[in-house]
Amino acid sequence: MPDIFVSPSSPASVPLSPTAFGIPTALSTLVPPGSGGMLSAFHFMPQGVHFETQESGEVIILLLRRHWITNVPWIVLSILLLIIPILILPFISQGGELIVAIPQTFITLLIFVWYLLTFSYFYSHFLLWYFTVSIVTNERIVDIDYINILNKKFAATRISRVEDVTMRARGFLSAFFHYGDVEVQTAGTEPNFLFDSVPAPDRVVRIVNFLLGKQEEEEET
Amino acid sequence: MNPEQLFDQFFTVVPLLILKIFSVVILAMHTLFAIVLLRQVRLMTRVLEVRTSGVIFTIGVVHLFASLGVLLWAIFFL
Repeated sequence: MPDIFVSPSSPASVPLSPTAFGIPTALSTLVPPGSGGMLSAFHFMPQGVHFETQESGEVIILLLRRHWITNVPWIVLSILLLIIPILILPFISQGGELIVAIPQTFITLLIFVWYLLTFSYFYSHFLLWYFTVSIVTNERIVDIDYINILNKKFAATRISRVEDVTMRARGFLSAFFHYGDVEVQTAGTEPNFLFDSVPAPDRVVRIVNFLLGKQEEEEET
Repeated sequence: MNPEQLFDQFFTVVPLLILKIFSVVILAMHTLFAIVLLRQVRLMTRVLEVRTSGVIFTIGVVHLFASLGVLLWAIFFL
């Protein structure tokens, strides 16, 4: 009996295998250890990930975020904001009574508001980090950049338009934690792409170069 | 109530009233921020769908309800 309706399979549910897309397994050995976790900054062929303009047959090869070490300033500030009331309260109270003449309800409200704002600060920074991603697919390079919560920049280019890929590691932290910038130069008037502070930039360059070579081979044949 | 008592009461009540209005305005602005944030989270999870999208959205909902809860608490109990 013929099927009346067959639901299209979701790209997220298709199990991905590097070899199925002509990607040698040797390339997957370039993936840094510990990557691919829920909060990882380096994902090689991630499963269960889909982006807005993803075309059918387009497979995500790399999904990159800024290295976790770049989050240290706002994480440390959030922790400080968490402990500040605990440190201050003993100084403004004496034997359970407040020195300053403010009703207890106001102090309780102040503590609630303080932790609410602290959480908002942490949550908005986490969102900016988590959703600011650079994506390399088998066909395109996509850059989704959140400057702040309300401003988004979305840029994409075909792999065939890529001319050169370079990496740049700057400073002690960059060398110690093995992260850096990857610049993708494109042909013509198209803007260049900058993968900001991504982990293992040398491996990213090798993977993009491999895809570039593969694309050129396909164009020649 | 003599004028002196009235004067004292005025200066006890007015600062607290100003403080309450100020707190409610700040909290109302924060609730608006929480609504905008939740809307943005929905857009972000549409642009990039990941397995954790549901959890991240739920955290946004909890954040909005917490903000709303503190606002209502400030209005009714302060």
